[in-house]
Formats: sequence, structure tokens, C-alpha cells
Amino acid sequence: METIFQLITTGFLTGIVYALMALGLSIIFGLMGLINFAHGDFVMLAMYGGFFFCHFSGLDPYFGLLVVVPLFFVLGAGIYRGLFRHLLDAPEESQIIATFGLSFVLQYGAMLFFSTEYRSVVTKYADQILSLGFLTVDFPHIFSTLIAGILLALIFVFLYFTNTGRAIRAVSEQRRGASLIGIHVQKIYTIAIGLGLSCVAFSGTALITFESVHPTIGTHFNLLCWVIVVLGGVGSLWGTVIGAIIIAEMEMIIGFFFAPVLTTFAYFVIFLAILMIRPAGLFGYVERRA
Amino acid sequence: MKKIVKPIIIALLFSFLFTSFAIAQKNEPVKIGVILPLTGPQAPIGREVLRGIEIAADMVNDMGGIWEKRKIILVTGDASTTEAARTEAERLCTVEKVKLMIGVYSSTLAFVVHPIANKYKVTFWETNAIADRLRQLNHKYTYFFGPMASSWGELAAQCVVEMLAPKLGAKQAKDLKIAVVYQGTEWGKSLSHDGFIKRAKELGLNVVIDAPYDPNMVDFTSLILKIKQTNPDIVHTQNYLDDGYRLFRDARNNRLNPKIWIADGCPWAYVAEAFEKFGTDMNYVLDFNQVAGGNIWNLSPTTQSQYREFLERYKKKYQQNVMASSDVAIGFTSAIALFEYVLPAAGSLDPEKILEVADGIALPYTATARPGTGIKFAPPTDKQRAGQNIRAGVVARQIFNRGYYIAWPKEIAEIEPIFPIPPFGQRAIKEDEVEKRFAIPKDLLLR
Repeated sequence: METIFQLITTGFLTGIVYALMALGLSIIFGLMGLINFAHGDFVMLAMYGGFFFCHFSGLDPYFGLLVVVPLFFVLGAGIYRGLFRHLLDAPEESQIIATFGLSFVLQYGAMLFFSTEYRSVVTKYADQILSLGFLTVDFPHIFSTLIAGILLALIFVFLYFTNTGRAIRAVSEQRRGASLIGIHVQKIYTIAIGLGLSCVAFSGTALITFESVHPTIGTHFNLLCWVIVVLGGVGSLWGTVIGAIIIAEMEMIIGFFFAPVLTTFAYFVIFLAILMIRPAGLFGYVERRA
Repeated sequence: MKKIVKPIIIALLFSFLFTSFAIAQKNEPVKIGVILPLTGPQAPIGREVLRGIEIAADMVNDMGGIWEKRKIILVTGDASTTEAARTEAERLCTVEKVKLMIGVYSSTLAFVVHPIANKYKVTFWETNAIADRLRQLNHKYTYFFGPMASSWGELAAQCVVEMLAPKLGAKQAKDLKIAVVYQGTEWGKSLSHDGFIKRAKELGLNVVIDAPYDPNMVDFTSLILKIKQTNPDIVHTQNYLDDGYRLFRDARNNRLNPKIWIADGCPWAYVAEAFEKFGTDMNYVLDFNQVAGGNIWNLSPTTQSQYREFLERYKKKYQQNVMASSDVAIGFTSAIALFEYVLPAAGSLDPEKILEVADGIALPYTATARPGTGIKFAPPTDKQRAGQNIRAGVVARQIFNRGYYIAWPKEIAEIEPIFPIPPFGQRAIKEDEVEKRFAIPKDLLLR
């Protein structure tokens, strides 16, 4: 029984880390309808951001949020202006090909500038464990859960209690209608992409406290994030969080009770099943963008 | 008179052209293709192998080259993915028209590259790829300098019986509980399942868990808890970089503390990054690998001086010691064996002539700077291990303070190993404590 509780707890904490990674994609895909296959590579860049901040300043990577988040907001705005803006009304195939291309550019750019070496950060709490009776939890996961909680609260407040947030939701529901009532759609999309990449900055910074970074680490994250977003439901941030926890708990169950070799296979089976049974995902709604 | 002059002029012209051609060919460099993952996740190791091959070529060229002073030039191909490997191998064979290739490091890539080399009758000198099934493809002109996966795993099982069980005070080796964890890939299955587990069963060892896993797993807690339930004395692991780091990290987080941790063929165990991440928790880990350097007292003087020169050149060129990763040494020792023992005797890059030389070669382990490794190739007619260097060896090294010390086989051991391994967080050990365990004088260690 103790092992079961340990599995559930670790699954929950891992799920929160997954949610942190997938939130940015959920915002960009859910609010704008843009298919972004370079998402995992943005996570990789954010991990490098956390690494270099720590390397040059000697401070904990979490202090780097003060630098990396604004940088990623600006990066998001720039990429929107330079690329994503032209893809919004393009066919889905064009979006897929263009963002796959962007993924390669980011990976090979990282190889060129950062080399292919594995890089990681050693924090004072990297090997610290919190024991709660029979449960053990490592501090890097505790901190990343706290960060995810703070981030979710901020996004929720921003989207539901600010005029810009309301405008983002309005544009995501009815772009033309929002435009007719005077909302500056291009500006709102710029902010939404900036917001999405700011979430990525949070996730990359949290990840670098317990993962190594290298230029191609984003490839697997990319698939994982897509499965989570589709499972949780397009356009639902809470769905993304719940989808991430479901995936992580499932990995724990498959790994422990069945075969660890089947974990990726199992969540792709779930992914396909959801697409067939409920294409909009667990908490998603049917597309009605005009 | 005119009748005589004309043929003389023609004859002179022809002889001039022929001589020019002969001179040109004599000075023409010997082009060799090197195909390795130079970008992508496997690049940290691929580039190290390349450095080793380059130093070997430089050393031969500085000695005057091969075959009447012809220099070796290396043409590289980047096998970052299987698709890239296919394209690059085709390019090297058809555009660059190389007759011999070295590489390719990964077994997955080798399954793509070796058939292409075979298709064009290009000799392939494999430095690292260890999957057994590669040998069973029966490519006539492919040679595997390093060990094959199953024999690698078999030797680790042998080590449990010969060294580890007595160290743990077990009356019989079968009293020990062994957990076997490995990637569900060709390499993992060859080494751990077909090698270690099969041999362990033959030796009567008690394998309590046989756990292949998905290398893409981000969190290994479920697997670690599963292993923990069996309370193993020995954990035998085979992994690559990302999964190796994650497995070890989650073992530490969940306090999985076996008496012996074997990292069998795991490259993460000798990448400097591992020490940055895990610090002294890396101490006492037993790393099973094909290595170069170490205990040298029984090597031939030529091999010793050659390897010393390699170490010096590497340090001078890259401002670091070879110890950072032994893959550079694997690349060097593979390539120098080819350049020194095979090509000069073959006299050309003709694959048939190379085959003839390779077939007849039989060198003892004193001839290479890889501990326990000599050279003798299985013939292409050997259905199970065609082209395999059947004298390729594997050693067990125990890690202390970023140093690797050969602990087995006993005949070439540098250190008396220390077991059981202390729990995570208690593995710091002073250097003088390590030196007390040296089985040979320190100056005999070639690093």
C-alpha cells in the first residue's frame, strides 16, 4: 500500500511538471488554433536559458525567471510577427511543415551555439529528499510544483480578471466578432504567443533543476505535450493540467504493474482512443473559430 | 628520318604520361571515410570517437604515411539520425568514392550503414557498434574491432561469480539476488537479455527481475519501486545518456541502495557530465566497458609508447585528459590497429586484399592499448559472428573520485575493489583511501 501511495504522489508531481511543459502549447494551440511542432524545442531553449543564467550568475536557476520570462515573452512576440502571423490562416499542413522547419532551425541553432554537450545545473537541493512518513519527495519536484501552482494562478487571474485576458478569450472564441467590437486582434495574438512562451520559460527553468539539456531533448517533449493537450481538451488549461496528471499516473501504473517498456506505447494508445471517441479531448469544446 | 622521329616522339609522350600518372598516384592521398553521429543526441560520443581516429591518422601521417609515403585523409559523414546515416553513407560511397569507412558507433545506425557499405563492396571498420545481430548479417567486408553485446553481458555474469559474490561474502553466487534493468532496444536486449541473463542462468545465478524499459521514460520511479520490492543485492543496468541519468537520479531519490551497482556498457558512466550531476554518489559504481589505457606493464613497448603519444597529442590539442571519456581512446585504438596492422600489409584498399590480411591476423592482447584485447577476426563464413574480433575484451572498472580503476579480470586488475557500495549520500572517499587499494604501482597506470 505504501508503494501505491508513493506511485500516486510521484505520478502527481511528475504530472505537474508535464503540465508546466504543456501549458504554453495549450495557450498557443487552444487560443489561437496554431499547430506548433516546435514547442518542445522552445522548452529546450528555456532550459538553456536557465542553465546559462545559473552558469554566469552563480545564482539558483529560479532567480533566472526574472530574466528568462521577459526574454521569452519578447521572443514569442518576435516569432509571432516574423512567422506565426503568416500561418494563422494558412492550411494546417502549412502550419505543420513550417513549425517542423522551425524545430530544426532551433535544434541546429542550439548545436551551433551551445554545442551538443549535455549540460546541467547542480543546485543545493538537487539530492535533498523530504520524508513524510513512508512517502519521499525530492525538492526539485516540490519546487516545480509550487512554480506550476503560481503560474496557473497567474494565468487564471490574467485571463479571467483583466481586460487583456478577456480580450484573448474573446478572440479565441470569435476572432471576427472580437475584431468588429474593436479588439486589436494582431496585438492580442502577439500577447497570447508571448504568454505561451513565458509559460515555456517557467517550465524550462523548472526542468533544468533536475534534467540535463542538449539540443535535441525537445523532440520527445514535443510529442508528450501534444498528447497531453489533446487528451485534456483543446482550449482548456485545466484540461491540460488534468491530462498531464493522467498521463503521468498512467506511466507509473504501466511501469510498475505491467511493463516499463510499454509506457510511451500506452499513452499513444490512449491518445488515439481519445481522438476517436472524443476528438475535442476530455475538457475541450468543439471548434467554432470564424 | 621522319619515319623514326615520329614514333620516338609518340613513345616519349606516352612514357611521360605514364610516369606522371604513376607519380601522381604515388603521391595521391589515401581517402578514408569516417561516418559517425557528429550532431544530435549521440554527438558527444561520436565526436570523441572522431577525435581518436583523427589523432591516429595524424600519427601515421607524421611518420611519413602509408604505402610509400601516401598521406591518409579523412572524409567525414554526419550520421545524426538513421535517415542522415543512410544519405551520408551513400554520399561517401558514390560521390566521395571511398573504398574504406570507419565508424559508426551506434548499433541502430550500423544497421543502416553497414548494408550500404556492403552493397558498394566498401570495407567497413566498426569501432563501437556491439549488437549481435550485426555480426549475423554476414557482410563479407565488415570488421568489428570491439566486443559484441552478448559476450559483453556474459563477461559481466562471469564477473559476478568470480569476483563479486566472494566480495559480498556469499557462500554461493546463486544466493545473491540480481535485478537486471535495460533499454528495450537492440543493444539493450543483446547485452542484458541475450548476454547477461542467459549466462547468469547457465551459472545458476538468481535473476529476480528482468526489466526492459522504454528509453523515452521521463521518470523512472515506477521501475525503481518495482526493483526495490525485490530487495536486490546487485543491480545490473544498461542505458544511454538521458535514460541513464534519469534512472540513477530516481534511484537516488527513492533510496534504492543495492550492495553493487553495475553499469554495463553505459556511456553515461564515463561522461564528465555524470560527475557534475551526481558528484560523489558516482563513487563505487562498477563500470563494465571496452576501454583503453590503464594497466600497461604487460603491453609491448611499441604499444606503450604509441599510446603515450596519443595521450600527449590529445592533451595538447584539446587541453584535457583522455579520462574525460574513453570513447576517444576507443576511436584511436580501433583506427591505429587498422592503420598499423591491416592496411600496410594489404598494400591497397582492395577489399579482397584487406580480407586476406584480416583473415590471417592473430595478435595477442599486448598488441593493443585496450586491456584484455588482442586481434583475431572470425571469418565471413562464421554465421554467428562474421567479422568479429574474437579477442576483444571487456573490463570492470570501479569509479572513485572521477577516476576509473580496473578491478576485473584479476590478471590485469589495478585495484582491489571495495564492496558493498555505501548508500547514496555516503559515498565520499578520500584519495589516499583509494590509493591504498592499488594492486600495482601508480606509475604503471597509463592515462
